[in-house]
Amino acid sequence: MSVGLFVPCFVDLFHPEAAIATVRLLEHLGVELDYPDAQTCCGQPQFNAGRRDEARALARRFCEIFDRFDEIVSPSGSCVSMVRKHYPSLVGDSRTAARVYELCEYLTGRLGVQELGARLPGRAAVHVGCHARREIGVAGAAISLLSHVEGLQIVPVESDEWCCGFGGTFSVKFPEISSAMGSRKLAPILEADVDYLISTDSSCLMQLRGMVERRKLTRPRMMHVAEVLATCVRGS
Amino acid sequence: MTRWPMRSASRDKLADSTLGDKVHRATLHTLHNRARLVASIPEWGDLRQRAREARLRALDRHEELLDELTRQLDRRGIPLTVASTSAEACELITRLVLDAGGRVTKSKSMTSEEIGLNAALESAGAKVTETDLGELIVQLAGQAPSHVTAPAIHLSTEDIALIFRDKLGMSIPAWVTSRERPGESIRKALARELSLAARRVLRERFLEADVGISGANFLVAESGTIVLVENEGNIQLTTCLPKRHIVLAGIDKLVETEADLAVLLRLLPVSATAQRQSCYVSLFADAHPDMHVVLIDHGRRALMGDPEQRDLLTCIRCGACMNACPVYRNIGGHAYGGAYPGPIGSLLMPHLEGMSKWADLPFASSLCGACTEACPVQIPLHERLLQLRARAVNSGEVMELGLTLRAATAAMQSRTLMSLAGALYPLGAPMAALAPAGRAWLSSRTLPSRSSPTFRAWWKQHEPRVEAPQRPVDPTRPAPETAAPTPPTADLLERFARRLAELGPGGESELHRFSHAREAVEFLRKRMEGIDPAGILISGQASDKRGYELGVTPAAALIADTGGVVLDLPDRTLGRASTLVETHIVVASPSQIVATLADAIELRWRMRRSEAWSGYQVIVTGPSRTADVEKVLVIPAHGPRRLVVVLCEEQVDLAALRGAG
Repeated sequence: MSVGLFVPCFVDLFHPEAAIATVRLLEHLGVELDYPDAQTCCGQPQFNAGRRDEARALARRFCEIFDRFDEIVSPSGSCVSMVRKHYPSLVGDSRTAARVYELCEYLTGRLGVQELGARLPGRAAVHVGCHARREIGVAGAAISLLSHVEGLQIVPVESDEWCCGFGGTFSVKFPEISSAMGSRKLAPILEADVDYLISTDSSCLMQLRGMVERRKLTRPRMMHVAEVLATCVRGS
Repeated sequence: MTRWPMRSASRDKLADSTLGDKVHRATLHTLHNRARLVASIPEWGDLRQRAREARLRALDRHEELLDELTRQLDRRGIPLTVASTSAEACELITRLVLDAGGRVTKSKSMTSEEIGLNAALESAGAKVTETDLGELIVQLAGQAPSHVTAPAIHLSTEDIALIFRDKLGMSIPAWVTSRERPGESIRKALARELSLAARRVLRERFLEADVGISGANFLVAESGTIVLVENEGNIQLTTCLPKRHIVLAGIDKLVETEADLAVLLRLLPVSATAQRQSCYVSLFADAHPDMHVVLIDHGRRALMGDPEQRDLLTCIRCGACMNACPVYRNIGGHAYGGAYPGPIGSLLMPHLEGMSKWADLPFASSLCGACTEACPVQIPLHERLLQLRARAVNSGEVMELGLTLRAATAAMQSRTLMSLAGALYPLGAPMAALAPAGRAWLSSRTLPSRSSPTFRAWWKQHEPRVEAPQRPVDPTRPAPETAAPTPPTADLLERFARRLAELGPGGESELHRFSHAREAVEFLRKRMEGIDPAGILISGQASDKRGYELGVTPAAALIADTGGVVLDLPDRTLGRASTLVETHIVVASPSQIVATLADAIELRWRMRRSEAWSGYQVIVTGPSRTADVEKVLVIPAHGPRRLVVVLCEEQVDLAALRGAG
């Protein structure tokens, strides 16, 4: 069984901690990972901007790189959804598209684990990214894994299922709407006075972290679900 | 054609900080109530599936169904015209209106907004009154509706009070114009007062109108039935009082069978207003002597021939996608610029009126998929948006970000270039503030900073520490949930009683049960005591066009699931006994009860075919109501303020009551 690690381009550059935690966690669980160095981007920005030819070129490249793996795992619901849901329309039947897994669903569905022995004391709001939630349906897996984390109290807030407003190129084309959405998303989370905001997706956290930083707030701390779960690994 | 400037329009709307609050409050109110209601309907998923199939089948067979409907209407002497363009439809309707006298009451029709009918009528000298409360409010304010089922969702109680003061001369409390904001109960009382003021003002208009213009929610081909769904009673008054009735709808509103209708009638009120059933469902299959049906194409036939996007025409205009959309909730409907806002509007407008004007709309979405999740007929709205974006780019309409994305693509195809771009990012990022989009981004957010090391760099140093393998279990996918449908064992009458009581939370609905006819008659006489006989209207009796204190009508069926009552009305003037009255008493027999709306629709179709029932039925579900002012439920709207159901085991002779008041 060969397992490829897909680290989205912006995670590599801006939020490597989510990917590092993914590696530590999966290795801890006995998964030998390979990270193909040639990988760049899944093509979602181009695809969502309506630039299908460019997205197709990147999708083909992605498939060439990842085709050799039995399974591909990634700490990003949004990018996994791009590959699984949209690659078939770009490159036809794709072995890669059918074998890519978001981290939480990989843990619960492929490895069959729930209780990892992770520990994080504090109160947290959980944002399952919209693609993770609605396109690939991993909210159940994410919440279940987090509910087994010792000391962690998950606080439901009204905006749990609302979009963070990022939406990739949407946030560039309509920056005002994007930030209004972010503020609406954030308000109940800030009101709940949580220690952490945990998400399946670094892209959503990037948007929300940017807003929290701009307001010079120190809480909540943004954490990728991989970082929370990797607290079960000694020395991490 | 100039491009609608979606970004600057949305910026203007966002500048009003109260708008987002108002729209959030109202849409979330409906969303939450809808979620609760859906949770109580185990067959919801199945209904959605059946609705999608029914709507797609109607598109597949569209031309046949249109022929069938035309034949059905023709048999009743009702002309049907298909107008290709808005101008054609407006011209035809204007002629029909002016011929009849020019005073128009109009029930809510998004199609009329789409074709600009009011402006056409008014410029020809007709006097048009919108009668749906929300529509009336926006008409008085000189605005367009901002939501397909809640036109005044962007206005607060105070906003509406000021409009009514200026346009209707209504006196309003002093606090409205002060900075003071009183408690919710005082605001709700004002919302109620405003709704009741509209009832008073519009009653006159209904009585004097020459022409009633309605839309249509569905047109059933097999039975030639035109179906209209509402809560306020304004549709009944619009369709029953004026001598001429004009129906305006898109050609996409056709459905094939009565069984399909039964499915759609269940989904629509749940999705639109979070109700089990709307207050009035009018089913017109009558030979109205002066009725005209105008169906509009306006880009729809072209869309039917578009294999990728044709399912947009399965939309039933419930507005659920707007309520669910976080973009809509922040900017409201007007920022979208067209007749249809929100996700469905962003898709329909480019199809109906061309990409060159509406190319920005498909891009105004974060693609969160909440619309797709909400759509009762399962249109994958966000996927359709993605397809339209690709078309906008391919047609050359959209160039924005093109250069940036092309450069990004080139970089992403080479690991070396990508790493170089990453390395240069810290130098480039500070320049973001030089670009307008960058400034807008930075005004509320910081840019992420490049991490050192990147993951890639970390990985190269990384010594794998793979522990004892724990793998792999068989792929376990959660088993699909199978909801065991509970058989309706509960007494249907008990369920009916419970539902009817829910429909009058302030005691506006009553149920009285009798074994013998004489007891029921005695009860009815008691209710008639002290009322001037001229104020009482007993079914079947000829009547003037005016208000009455009390109306008594027989029921043709009762519906346990919804607390609904089916009225069979051989003549539209007979509708007065159930609409122009303060109290409406329905006399029924327990044996008339059926379990579900689908059973009632099926019964009606059977009775229609055997001609046991007439051509016009109304399903009445509770006393008339509105929630168009900030979602505050107000009973009554334009119809009765009280609905009384009298259940009697024996046949009650209503004719004997006449002249007995």
